[in-house]
Amino acid sequence: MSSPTTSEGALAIGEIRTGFVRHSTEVSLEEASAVLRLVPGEQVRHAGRPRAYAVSPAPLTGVDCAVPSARGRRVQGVGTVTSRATITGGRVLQVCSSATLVRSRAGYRLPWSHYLGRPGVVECLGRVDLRDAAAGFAEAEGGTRGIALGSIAEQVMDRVQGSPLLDGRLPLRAPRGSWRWAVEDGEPLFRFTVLRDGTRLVRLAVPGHGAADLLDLVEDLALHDWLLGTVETILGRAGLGSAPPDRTLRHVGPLVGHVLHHWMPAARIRPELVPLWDAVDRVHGLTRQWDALVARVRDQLALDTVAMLAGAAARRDGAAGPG
Amino acid sequence: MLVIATSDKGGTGRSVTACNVAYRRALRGHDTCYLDFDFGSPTSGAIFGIAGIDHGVASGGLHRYLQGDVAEPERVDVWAASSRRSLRARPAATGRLVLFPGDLGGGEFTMDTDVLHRCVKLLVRLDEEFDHVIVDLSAGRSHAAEMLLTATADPELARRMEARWLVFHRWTRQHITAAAGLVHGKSGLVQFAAEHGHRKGSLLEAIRFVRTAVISPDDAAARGLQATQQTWLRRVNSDLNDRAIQLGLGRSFVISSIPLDPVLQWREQILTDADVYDNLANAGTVEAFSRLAEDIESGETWSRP
Amino acid sequence: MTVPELDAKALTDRIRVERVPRSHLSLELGHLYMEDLLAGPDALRRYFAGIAPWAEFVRSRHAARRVSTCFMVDEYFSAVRKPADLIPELVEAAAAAGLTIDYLARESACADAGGVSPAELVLERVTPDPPPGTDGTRPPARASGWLTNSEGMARPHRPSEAMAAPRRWEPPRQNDVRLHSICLDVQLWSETDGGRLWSCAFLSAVWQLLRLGVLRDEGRAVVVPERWDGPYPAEWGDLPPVVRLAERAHPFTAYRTMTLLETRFADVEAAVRLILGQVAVDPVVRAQVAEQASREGVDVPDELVRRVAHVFTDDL
Repeated sequence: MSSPTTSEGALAIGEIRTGFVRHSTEVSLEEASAVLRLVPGEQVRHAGRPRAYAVSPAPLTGVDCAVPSARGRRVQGVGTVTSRATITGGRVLQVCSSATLVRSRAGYRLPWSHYLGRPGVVECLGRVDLRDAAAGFAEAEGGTRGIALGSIAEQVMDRVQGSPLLDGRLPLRAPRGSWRWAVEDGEPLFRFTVLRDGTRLVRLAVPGHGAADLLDLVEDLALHDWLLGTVETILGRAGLGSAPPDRTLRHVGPLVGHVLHHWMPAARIRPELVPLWDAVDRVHGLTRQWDALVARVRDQLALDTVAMLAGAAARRDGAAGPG
Repeated sequence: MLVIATSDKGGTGRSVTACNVAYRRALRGHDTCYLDFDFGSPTSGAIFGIAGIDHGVASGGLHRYLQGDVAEPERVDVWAASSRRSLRARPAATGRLVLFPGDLGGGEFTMDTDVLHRCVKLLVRLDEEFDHVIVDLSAGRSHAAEMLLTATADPELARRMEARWLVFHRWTRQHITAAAGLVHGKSGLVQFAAEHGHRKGSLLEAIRFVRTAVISPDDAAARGLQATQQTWLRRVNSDLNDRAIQLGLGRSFVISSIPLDPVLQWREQILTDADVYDNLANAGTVEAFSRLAEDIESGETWSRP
Repeated sequence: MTVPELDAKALTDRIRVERVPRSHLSLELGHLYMEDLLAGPDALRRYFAGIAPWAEFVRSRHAARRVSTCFMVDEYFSAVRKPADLIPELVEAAAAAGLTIDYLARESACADAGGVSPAELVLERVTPDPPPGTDGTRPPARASGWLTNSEGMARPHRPSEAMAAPRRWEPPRQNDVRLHSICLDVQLWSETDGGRLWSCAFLSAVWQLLRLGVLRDEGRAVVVPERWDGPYPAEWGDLPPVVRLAERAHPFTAYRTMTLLETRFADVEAAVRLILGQVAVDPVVRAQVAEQASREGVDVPDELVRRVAHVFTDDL
């Protein structure tokens, strides 16, 4: 697998986009595999448990541009970005585009075939400070962002969503979730920032774990964080408790049918990393908020049902009354 | 759903009405975006009261996007960015309201397959997150109109997004003729559609007219007109109705009539309910906007042939 | 209490990619256009006699290593000579010069190898050489059917906007230029009434990749050489993509390839090298080759194009 791995003096950076698969129903594993054939000839991997999950082969994108820097330094990087698309539970599509930054041994650009021999690696041609690059990418709002990993992820996502196998009839709409992450070497680190436009930034380092392991973790966090945000937004529209029941139902119905059962934290990450998931969850209260939202949905539906039954009973009594 | 607003000529109040419709859809809890494809004069920034982009953004707007200069066009969250306090006070349970502005000083440009491809890609992309995508075109036969007609015939778009067209025209003899020409005339919308992959007759089913600056003879009394003037008005109105029917713009194809509103003519902006209470806007205009916002989705005019 | 360590490998469907046997070197005994093959048996004998010393030199350099030889018949663009006549003639002419053709390939098999198109597979693996300033914001301008090493010749055309100033001429620039540029634009295919017509350069690049054994279709090897018993057919299409002519031969696919050619093919092969420089190998296959090579103590460059050598000479 071509996911980046950190080695001595390397930094892996990436962006994740999360959204609903543009399809009226959940897609089966077979459909997901067909939709994710981003490199014809290469195979899609999939698993049925603990829940349906499929991973695309990794197409490459060539870049030759500045690498990120918080201090606004301009260092040229040349190499390839690797992308992977995943479909979880037949409903949630995620694309992650990432690259590992390393120092180049040559001080100039080599023939392109050299970079294709090291997929997913971007070689920095100047003196690069990897801490500065990590901060520029996944901590600061300003600075030089350099490689447009987000755009690359968006393009891959558009490609998947444009698959003729998807009918485009989404049961519910939501903006894509956006995460930028940097995995570094060195002392344990977890630094989380939320930008004004909702983009999540995370810098992390876990000794003994490369970017491939940590990517699964970040992807899982991004998925659950996005699910939570999406449910919150849709419930906000539903006007729970204040709007008429039909409006509530119009918004809440698709949630129950298509979203609520996708909450399955840390289903796919390495067991040693589960405590890290739990720690993040404790601080940010993802599961607590989720439980509260789900309880609210269920209570409201129960209440509406009672009201509806009472209404029906009253009409029946009225009809059977004196007359 | 894709809603495309166009008009026979300028000065119909198309942009201001379309902006208000977008605003009203969002108020109803629908995620709505507004695309300023009026390449000659993008004014939606001014209508939504967004400071600094009265006539488009400096870079990265829809012009630049369609020409391939940027990967994604700039987006403006109207609720957050409007300089009008009444808009910033976003009520609970409203949908998102996002403006995609044009570019400052960007003119019309020719359409080629790349531009078209980017247009389709953008619309498909927006359909993923918005309930309503409202596109405001330039007046008359424009490159933008051609682009949208071609884009909506694209199979990738067509099988996913239903497109509805609103053709705006003022309620005068010349405008009725011009609007009929734009829709039914030589190299008009219907003919262009038929030549560019639309199923025969399908575009006509998707077009409804919005009459603007309408003076209803019934209101005339209230305006203090004399009886002879009222009679004359009634006769003119009836002539206009006859002409509209002859030209295929009859009642059954009309989705909305927006009354003449001097305030709106001079100051193109979003009319909030508060503006009505403060007597800054006419209740009739706001009601027409509100009804149109309702009817673009479910109005019974759509069910007629 | 000790909790047993759980295996977190959730992906039950592990990727299966077929391994192929490999020689150390695949030596191509020249290349001829169909019109060259019309010149008759004597011309062919002269040709192989000329090439024999070169082939001998290569063999002696690879003593005690596995070397297989191959020859490709260009019947994609024209198929004047039939296999039944040509193959015996080729084998005989080579033998007269003391050479053995182990494998014979049809060029059209690079376009269609029965159920799979190697050319299509390669096209999907092309990752274009990015000009400086490429940050991924925009998808690479797919001047469809072309590949370049530079910026400026196949410049993407921009829609003209009313009242915009005319643009000035700018020289093209090689993407990895040091001092001066050498700019190449290569056409991969053209559109014809009968569908897509692959260029000679592109099919030759595919041919190199087949010999390197790095193409897979859903994990399966794309071309497997077959023996042909009995007389050769009248139609090329009736032959398998690659025929093993020799009784005993080292494997068709190899760690490296070498091709002996006349200088008139230099342009085509420069284009082949440009294409190969922009093809990314399936990472699983890449790892397999590296593992296989290190087990055998063979040195294989990471860079695909550096596994491919050419010898140009007219001194045949």
